[in-house]
Amino acid sequence: MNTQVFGIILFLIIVGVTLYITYWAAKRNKSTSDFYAAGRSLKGWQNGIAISGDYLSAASFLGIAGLIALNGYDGFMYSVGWLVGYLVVLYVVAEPLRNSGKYTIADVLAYRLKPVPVRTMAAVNTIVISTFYMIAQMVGAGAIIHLLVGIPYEVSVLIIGVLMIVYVVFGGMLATSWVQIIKAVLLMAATILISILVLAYFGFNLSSLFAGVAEKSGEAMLQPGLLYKNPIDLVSLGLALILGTAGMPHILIRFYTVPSAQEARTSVVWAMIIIGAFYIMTTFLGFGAAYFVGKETIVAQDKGGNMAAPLLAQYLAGGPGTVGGELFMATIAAVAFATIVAVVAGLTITASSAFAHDIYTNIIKKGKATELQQFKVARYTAFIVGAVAILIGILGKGQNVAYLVALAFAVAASANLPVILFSVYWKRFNTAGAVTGMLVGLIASVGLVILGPSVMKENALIHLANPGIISIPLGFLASILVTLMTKPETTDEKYEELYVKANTGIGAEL
Amino acid sequence: MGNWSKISSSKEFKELERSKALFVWPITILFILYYLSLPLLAGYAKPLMNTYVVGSVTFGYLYAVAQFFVAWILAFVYVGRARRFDESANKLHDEFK
Repeated sequence: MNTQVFGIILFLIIVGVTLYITYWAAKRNKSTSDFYAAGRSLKGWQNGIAISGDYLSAASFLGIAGLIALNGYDGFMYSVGWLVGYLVVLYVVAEPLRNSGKYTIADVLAYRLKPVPVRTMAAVNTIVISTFYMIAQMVGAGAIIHLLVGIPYEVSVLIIGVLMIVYVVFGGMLATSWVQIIKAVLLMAATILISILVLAYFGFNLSSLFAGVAEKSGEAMLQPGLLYKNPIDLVSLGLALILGTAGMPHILIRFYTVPSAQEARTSVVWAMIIIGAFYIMTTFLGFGAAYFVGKETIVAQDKGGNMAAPLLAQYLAGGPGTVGGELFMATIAAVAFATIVAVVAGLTITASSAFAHDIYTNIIKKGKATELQQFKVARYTAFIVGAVAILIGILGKGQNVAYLVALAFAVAASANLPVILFSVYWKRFNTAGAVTGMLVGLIASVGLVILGPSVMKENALIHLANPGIISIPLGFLASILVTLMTKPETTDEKYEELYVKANTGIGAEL
Repeated sequence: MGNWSKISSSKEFKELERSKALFVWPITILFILYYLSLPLLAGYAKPLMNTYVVGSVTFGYLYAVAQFFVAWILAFVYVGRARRFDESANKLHDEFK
């Protein structure tokens, strides 16, 4: 059996199933509430799996496995940062947000502050964050699919882009959620299978696996220091990850898809279990690849190490050239593809809601657009966002865009988190503080990266790859200082309303 | 729903708010500091991180994996406490309908 054929069949099955789901969802996709929030019809556990599917990108699956295969301990330490942010989401963000918002983050800010300026700024931030993340996904995706399957870069970007447009425009949030759920299940199944195969070889003894890796690739693999030379930079990255998750628009809007704060809570716990388990298993993927495939072979295929997991799968099922090996590799390629599509669909719907719900409905139309108008605009917007994403993906060919993911988290932590927290928890907070905080957080994080080594390479003015340690305090400080220097909001009773709502769920959007 | 300020100034709501804040913020801040200790130890306490604890498993690896378990445990602790907050919120709900 020709393995290329097998890979294509697998790919077509995934596409077929997801398109059927889109058709099923399209029949139910009739209002703005359906489009943005899946009609608030998801159960907590479903939303929890969908959050995992939204969050675990190809960069996690292939990138982190590669980082661990090449750098050992430092790669694993990096993966810890991807779970911890959810605790902040659970403790202080998810429930108030679900209780006091409708479709977007901006809803919560506009509740008691002056709607036009805060909505505009929040929508801009959402679009900026989603764009950075989208570029990283699209450019990475084109390269990865090209590597795995051999189809031209532009073709893979186009296929991914067209599919996500179809899911989002026709199926809205309901289809997007189920695509994410399917993808999370496929990704976890593949990761669990590879992990078990690796561990079984070592008799399920972690110490033997570590000893094997140390023997093959050197003891340094078990020790910090191979990847991160500057601890301050690493703390900076860690800060952005733990505080950025709670400001990530595409994660936060998922809480509007459930009927209550209790279900939002359940969602986060489910997501934490799945995401945590996944990142613990990245060790087995990475160390397995280092032991069985070897660093030289991995680097020969791709300098970034993205081929570590696929090559490991190929080896475990019989090796290169065997039927089993090629089949397993094709399976991983199909899973990676599903992974990318689910993430970009989530980003597309997020950017669309910021445009259509915040800017069009609430600012241009001042909230006076009919349901039908809003629904139409939302879908048009999604189509345009998707088209732009395809274009950006094609233009970005060959660029190194990996740093954009960390930058997206830094912007979320510096520009979004302070104002989300202050809006809900600080009575004295006002519009001037919110707008300045969002602006300063955005400019500081993006500016520092432009001046830093990721963009300016050796001519960098700032020797810090991750801006978080500077830009996050700046975002908080700007919000606080400007608030204290300007007059309080005159709408105290609006704050009381928000605060009671956020804490009790009384009168929350159903 | 014209009685937001009545709710927010009620003794029960003030009590709910206080117990929530006292529970949520200390844990959140301590957890953030606990997580940041991982990169700091990896940067400045390499000998400790490189110590073998069980066979070839290092202290550094166990310290990193522990973060996952602490996060999970705290998530379940939160769910337990949040049920009590829900009860208070439901009482308020019934009282001020």
